Amino acid sequence: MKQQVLTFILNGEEVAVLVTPTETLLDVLRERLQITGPKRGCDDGECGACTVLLDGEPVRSCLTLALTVEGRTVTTVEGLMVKGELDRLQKAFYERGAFQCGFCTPGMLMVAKSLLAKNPNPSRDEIRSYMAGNLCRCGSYEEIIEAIQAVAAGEY
Amino acid sequence: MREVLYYAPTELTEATAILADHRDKAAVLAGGTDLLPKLNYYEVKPHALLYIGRLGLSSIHNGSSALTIGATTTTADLATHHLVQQYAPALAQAARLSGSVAIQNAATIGGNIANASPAADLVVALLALDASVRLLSHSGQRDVHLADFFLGPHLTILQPDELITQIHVPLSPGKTEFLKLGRRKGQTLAVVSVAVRLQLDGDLCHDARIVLGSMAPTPLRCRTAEHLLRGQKITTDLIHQAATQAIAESSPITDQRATAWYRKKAGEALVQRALLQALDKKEVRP
Amino acid sequence: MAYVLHPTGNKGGGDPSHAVIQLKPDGTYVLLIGAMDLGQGAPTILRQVAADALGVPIEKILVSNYDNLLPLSVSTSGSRVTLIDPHAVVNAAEDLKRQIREWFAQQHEANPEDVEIEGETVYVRGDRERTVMTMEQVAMGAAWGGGYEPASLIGRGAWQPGKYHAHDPETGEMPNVGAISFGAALAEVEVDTETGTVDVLRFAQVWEVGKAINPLLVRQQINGGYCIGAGFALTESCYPYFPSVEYAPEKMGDYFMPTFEDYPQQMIFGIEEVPHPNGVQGAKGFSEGSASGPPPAIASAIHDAIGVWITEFPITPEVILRALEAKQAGVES
Ligand SMILES: Cc1cc2nc3c(=O)[nH]c(=O)nc-3n(C[C@H](O)[C@H](O)[C@H](O)COP(=O)(O)OP(=O)(O)OC[C@H]3O[C@@H](n4cnc5c(N)ncnc54)[C@H](O)[C@@H]3O)c2cc1C
Ligand code: FES
Ligand code: FES
Repeated sequence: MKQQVLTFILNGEEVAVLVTPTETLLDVLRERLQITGPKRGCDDGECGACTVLLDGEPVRSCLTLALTVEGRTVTTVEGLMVKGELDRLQKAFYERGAFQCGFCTPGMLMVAKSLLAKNPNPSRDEIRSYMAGNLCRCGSYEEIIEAIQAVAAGEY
Repeated sequence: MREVLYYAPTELTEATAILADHRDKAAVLAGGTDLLPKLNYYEVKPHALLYIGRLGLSSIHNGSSALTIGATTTTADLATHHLVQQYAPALAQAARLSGSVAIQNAATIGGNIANASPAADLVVALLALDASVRLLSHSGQRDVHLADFFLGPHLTILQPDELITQIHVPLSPGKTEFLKLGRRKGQTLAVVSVAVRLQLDGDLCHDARIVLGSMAPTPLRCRTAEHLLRGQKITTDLIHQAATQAIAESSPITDQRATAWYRKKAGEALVQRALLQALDKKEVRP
Repeated sequence: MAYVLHPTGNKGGGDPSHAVIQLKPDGTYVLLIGAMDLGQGAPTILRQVAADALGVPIEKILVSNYDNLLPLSVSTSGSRVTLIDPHAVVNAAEDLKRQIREWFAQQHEANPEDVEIEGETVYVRGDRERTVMTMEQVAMGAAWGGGYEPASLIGRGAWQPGKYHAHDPETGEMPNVGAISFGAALAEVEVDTETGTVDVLRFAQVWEVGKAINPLLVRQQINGGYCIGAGFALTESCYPYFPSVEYAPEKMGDYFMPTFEDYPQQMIFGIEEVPHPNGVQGAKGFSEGSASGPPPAIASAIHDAIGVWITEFPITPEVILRALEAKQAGVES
């Protein structure tokens, strides 16, 4: 299939990459750019492991056709670290054991990041409803809720 | 090797010309939340993809007699926009209960309509609000009542060269409610959903809408049940009768989410509940 | 409310684990073990056990458990790892210390029994001033030779629970081989009798685990077990497919795992410790049991709410409505 150039901002840097029209953003990130933070859990929109921020808002990278992000800004879990420092959410997840296998974590972190940007002090119910599209088979929901609340409370 | 062409026009005339060129070989792409799973699993193999996200169709306006909603307005915008909350609260509620945050950020109202799922949440609310759609092709434009748009599961009157460009929601008074039951609480498709609108004159019901989702090949307006309420004094008894009648008009199937038996049984309770709760809602005043 | 007895390890004998600990030239250790990690943290606790057995900080120990060349751990199943693998690790640590003593005695013309290992310090008892070496020096000497005899200091250990025999039919006495963990689960539910939906409002689960080698990991297993158990109780089914085989889930979207919103408004967990005689430091496994508690606890809370015992999983809204209808009709359900 014919390839064309896709240009977008990925984790703060402009990238140009050759892609085919049917490739998804997840395909391009993982297969062409070796950005393997976003995980492919289902390719069906259901699990949330592939969630990235598009212009700051969480979307499924498996349901986003790559060419549609031309000129836009994509942030993956790789973009959360600043100058070698883990993001506060990453620290809280790490210290509070907010994962077991970690497969859902890159998606969870991106959605949690956008939640706190909109609502710096979310209640337990607000967290449950905002995060509902991200599944965790290991069942780390309790520890994730506590990690987000700990960040909101300024503990990190 | 199969070639697939990708277009992302910024002008409507360009978009309709592309559709006319490719006839039924092109797939319109809006938010992609219905189309991409099919592409990823090779259930559809279009020759061309027409991305309509750059046509400037993502806006909500307040006209003299209707809300005008651009076809690529996202479900997230519908859930939070003040005009929708004020004039079409049932639509805002349906949007909030659709999918999850990351889905809502991509999913569009036009996609929900064109995809024509019997479970489409926004459609159920829009039918209760008497919405219509504007369809545009290279040869012209037409407005169609949403109630006349659907033919069956994933089947509509939309022609291969037509685009949905706008949705019109008439500004009319009434009390509304949208309720949905899924197999679980988070990110779940409707096992049964219901939208109702009651236009009241004191305790007389001037007009009513009762719409069911996932209960027939298309989202369903229960016209006989609506008729039962029209011109009558609203009582709990009448509400029970209307709910029973609404379910009698439905023809649900059994699928992996629920059996037809369950849909009818729970559906009846849901319609009753929606009508009762609507009575307690604040009246929408245009 | 539900009470769970969870047997850990396959108590028939024939369920061994093996471990190897190698002293590296820089005085750190590599623990090689077959116990797979699926996120439950097996390498973490085995690293802790090795550090305790060798008397060194945990940072000195590197675990490798991702290779088919590694020693066998029968499987990561039956909640057996915490009961069985630590024994293999302790045995490997003892074997390594014996080798270090022998090597050290040879270098200093002493008796191996007189060699003292105090964490990272090694010396001959009664001759400390002259013989004392750090473990790093020992490791370097054994690895690089030079003035010393080279030696491969690699400890090996294996362990399995004692042989099983049936309980005595007269006295009821059971052989003390594996271990049983004890759990209690408590659910508070709201049942919508018109639509049949069940909402778990609050859930508490407490486990007696012998010894929590790593309390955070124990907590994760208790709370994680809730999600697996709650899915089993209320939404998930693979076979027989719901409602019949034609509706087998094809994609993930057809399968109903609990989401954050299905998670209770309040979650309480607890850990009790009664050291078990068969466990290293008294520890035993329990994790799978934490998924066994929620289904009966939820079912019994539903019984408490609507007066009907449901005896099938998942308890879908339809199951509830049918049970209520049967009750109404006065039919025994
Ligand atoms: C995990 C998940 C959960 C979901 N949950 C829900 C839910 O709870 N409720 C619900 O109703 N839906 C749900 N959906 C379905 C989907 O999100 C909605 O139907 C959405 O509104 C579709 O919009 P879209 O822009 O993403 O459509 P797309 O996928 O872009 O398009 C869908 C179809 O419509 C056509 N189309 C799109 N726009 C136009 C247009 N303007 N003119 C002509 N044709 C057009 C496309 O060609 C395609 O055939 C869910 C989907 C996923 C993946
Ligand atoms: S991989 Fe995208 S939602 Fe599962
Ligand atoms: S930590 Fe394993 S899926 Fe979430």
